[in-house]
Amino acid sequence: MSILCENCKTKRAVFLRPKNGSKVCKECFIELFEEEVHETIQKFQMFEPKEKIGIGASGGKDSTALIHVLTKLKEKYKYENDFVLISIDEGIHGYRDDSLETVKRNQLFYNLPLEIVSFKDLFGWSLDDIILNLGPSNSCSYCGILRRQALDLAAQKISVKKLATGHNANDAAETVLLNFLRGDSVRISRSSEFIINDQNDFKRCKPFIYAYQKEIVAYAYFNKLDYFSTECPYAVNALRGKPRIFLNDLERVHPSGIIDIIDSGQLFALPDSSIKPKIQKCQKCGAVSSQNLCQACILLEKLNKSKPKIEIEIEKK
Amino acid sequence: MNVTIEFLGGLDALVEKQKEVKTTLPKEITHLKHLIIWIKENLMKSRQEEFVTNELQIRPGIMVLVNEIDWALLDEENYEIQQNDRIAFLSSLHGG
Repeated sequence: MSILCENCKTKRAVFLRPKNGSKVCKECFIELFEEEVHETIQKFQMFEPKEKIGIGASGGKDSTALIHVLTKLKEKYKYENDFVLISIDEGIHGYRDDSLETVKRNQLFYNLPLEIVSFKDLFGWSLDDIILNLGPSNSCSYCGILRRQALDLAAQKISVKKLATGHNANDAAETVLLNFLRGDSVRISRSSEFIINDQNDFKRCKPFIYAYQKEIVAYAYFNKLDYFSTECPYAVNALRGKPRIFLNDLERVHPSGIIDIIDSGQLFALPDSSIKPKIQKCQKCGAVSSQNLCQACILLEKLNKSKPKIEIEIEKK
Repeated sequence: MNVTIEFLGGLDALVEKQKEVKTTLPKEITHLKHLIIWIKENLMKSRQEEFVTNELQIRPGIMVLVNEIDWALLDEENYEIQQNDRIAFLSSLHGG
């Protein structure tokens, strides 16, 4: 027994949207999904006319789907924006090297420029080297700190004022929950923002902030997109896994819960009387920071202190 | 019953990197609920918990599609398998 699409009422429904429970055919789903991303971009004025937009490309499902959607929307709605792909090579052997191959295939397919920046070139350390030195227990936070910096530096290098990332609704809800779990009240509302203003001349935006993870995967599946889906070998140590499992369970019984958490995060404003960290510039690299030294410089200092010792030991041999 | 089973979105890692398995199912495997347990017991050597929960339900976050149709529109695990069905398990949990 087949069910008709609730949207066009002519074709067979093939997908039950987790977001709102509607039953839609493949063509309507693809169109509705793209329209909703377009609405998010318009509503929050994510792209200004003539602005060059960087797209953070990892080769994974979210960024691959984002490249596909933005390419289609640009054509349909005549966006006056040029896109350039930005990839970070953290230096994770057997993982990032393979996913970058996926990015390179997509670069050719969509005919977009690609800028790859590596941790090794920027900071002198690959993530593999960092973890050999400091152990695997905080791998995701080291990686996150440096990746943030690397994206900023890459964007500066190719003079992009705005960076679009594939962060989806589940990611945003996860981050809100994580900041609750860590007691990091300052970051709660920040993690659910659509556009993050890091510095006066550089912004990040999330066109997928209202897109459910499952819908992105279904979109990639129905469009037969070429993406890389191996798990990062270091991700096993991440606290993020717990809220992720919880959110997937929640989505089954209460689909709007994902968006509700994001909305709650956005409404979570600290009273003026609370102590907010003042924003200043890192004394070493000039990046925006809440302390004298930014997190990346603190990490690199720690690493570089451990480095000379090893070299002396090698010389002794 | 001849079927093609696909492991997508990173699930191939649980079945020795096979993205597609063509097989003839034993007679008693008539519905998707049987197939899920059959896969867990016959195709997976480890990490089965990333595929099914302790209650032998498919893990939330994994979509199931039969001939490119969401199983949510096909009575889910009570769907009766047909000859030459293409059954895809698609994870939304891996990578990003």
